[in-house]
Amino acid sequence: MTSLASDLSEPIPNTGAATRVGRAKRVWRLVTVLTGMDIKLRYGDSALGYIWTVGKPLALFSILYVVFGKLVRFGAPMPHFALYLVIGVMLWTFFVDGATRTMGSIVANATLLRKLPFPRLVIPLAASLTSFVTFGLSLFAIAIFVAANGIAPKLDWLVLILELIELYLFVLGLGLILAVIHVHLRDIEQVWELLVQLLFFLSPIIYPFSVIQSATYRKIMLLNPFTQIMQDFRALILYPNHKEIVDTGFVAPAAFTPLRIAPLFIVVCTLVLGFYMFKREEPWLAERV
Amino acid sequence: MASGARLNGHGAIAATDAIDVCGISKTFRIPQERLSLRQHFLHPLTRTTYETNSVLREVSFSIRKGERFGIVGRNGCGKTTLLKTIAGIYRADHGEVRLRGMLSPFIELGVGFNTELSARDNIMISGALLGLSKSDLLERFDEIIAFAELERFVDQRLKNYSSGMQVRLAYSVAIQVPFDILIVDEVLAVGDAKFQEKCIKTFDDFSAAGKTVVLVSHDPAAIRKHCQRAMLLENGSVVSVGSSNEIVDLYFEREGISTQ
Repeated sequence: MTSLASDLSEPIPNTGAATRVGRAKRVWRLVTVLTGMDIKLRYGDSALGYIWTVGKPLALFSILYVVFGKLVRFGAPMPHFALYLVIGVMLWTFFVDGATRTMGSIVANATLLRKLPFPRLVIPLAASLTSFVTFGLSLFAIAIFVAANGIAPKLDWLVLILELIELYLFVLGLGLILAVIHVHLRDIEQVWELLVQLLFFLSPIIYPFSVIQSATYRKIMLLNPFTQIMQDFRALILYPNHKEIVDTGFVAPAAFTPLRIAPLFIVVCTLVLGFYMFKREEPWLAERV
Repeated sequence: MASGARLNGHGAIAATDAIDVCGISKTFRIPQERLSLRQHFLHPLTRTTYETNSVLREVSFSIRKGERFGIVGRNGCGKTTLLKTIAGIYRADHGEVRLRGMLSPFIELGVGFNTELSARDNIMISGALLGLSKSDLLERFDEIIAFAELERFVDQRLKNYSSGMQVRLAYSVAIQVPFDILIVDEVLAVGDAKFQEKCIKTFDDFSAAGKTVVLVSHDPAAIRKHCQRAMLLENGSVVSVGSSNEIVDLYFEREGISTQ
């Protein structure tokens, strides 16, 4: 933000790198303010507040564990099935929550968009970050499970930070695309809900990856960036010695095989498309929303 | 910042002007309602057809630095659309808006409050969106609350506020932004007499400080009293720009209202 120009005859310059840095700073400040308020709004009203962020996915985990760990016994041949499942459920919860909130953020903030001029991008950025921050709390739940399973942390796990960033960017890109569609076509909410169901079963969240018999299908499933990220998480924590894609879907991050690069490429494309669609829509958001 | 020197084109602004509006037009596309439920079922995938509604037609005028400028016209004549285009909330179909200095908008009686949050939180959000840094905001916080006279209710959620209280708070935030140009849409129509008087006093302060105030009202008496110059807008076109007395008389004449 430029301070008040005391001499009004000097127009405020609006080009150059200095202003670009200023703009980025302003966007960052707005995003942090809005994210903070979003978090407050989300849990301010409920009695248990922030406990729900971790509580809900944990409850979902418990249900799935009883059904698929004890009754159906997907996890029979696997050590640490509970940990396998909890990682999947937590990551999935963030994936769905982040994309869904980002999708609805523009319409939810219609009043603000109609009354004030500001960089519109801060709205979906704040929505996705809110989701990411609350997901951060779930990571503690995973940490507790890891400790309970007697697994010692390794230096390799630092790779997980990159995986988390990749997941966030994928969610942001997808959320931006959905948000732009949502402005024009509210039906996307229903379509997205169904897609979420489909993706849930097409990702090895509740079942071990080895349940998929065909190696070809496994490779196709690994093209999904979410699946690849989730399997990397599990492999790094649970199966450090497996280098085999067949069992775990884990491809060593350093191995630049097509199967490692393709999901990354999809993430980049999603993000670029999301930003492009949003930028094109931005000047008209106030009247179309 | 609410808006810096925002140039839609490359023209230069005269040194004595705060706002130059050059030939802006604005049309909205309004999706047409489907005619019947039966049609909806028969052709669920037909593309919605749009009706275009031309709200501003080739509007041009200039507002001088430090002046108090009024805009009058009936409901639906395009006043708010014009303000939103000047503020950069809408983008014009064509034409240019040239601004000199920072602009603070107070349009449709608010700055977009969230009624689930307290006054304190809302001030933090609106203030940030309007371009105040955190330290500036904290520094001005007491003043914002004091002007709105809401000291006792700072931590109450806005949904428990009366609409008058919300408007007071919104106006109070809008004027704490370091602006050169203030756009005020109908603030005098709400709020009690005492608050109106306070608002009018702020106008005098702004004028004394050389700031530009654009006042919009469908109450011509307020324009006559508080503005030096004014513009009459009719169906999205400028009818005339002149001294506020002339313009208000013209407005009454065209509306067939007797001045007395």
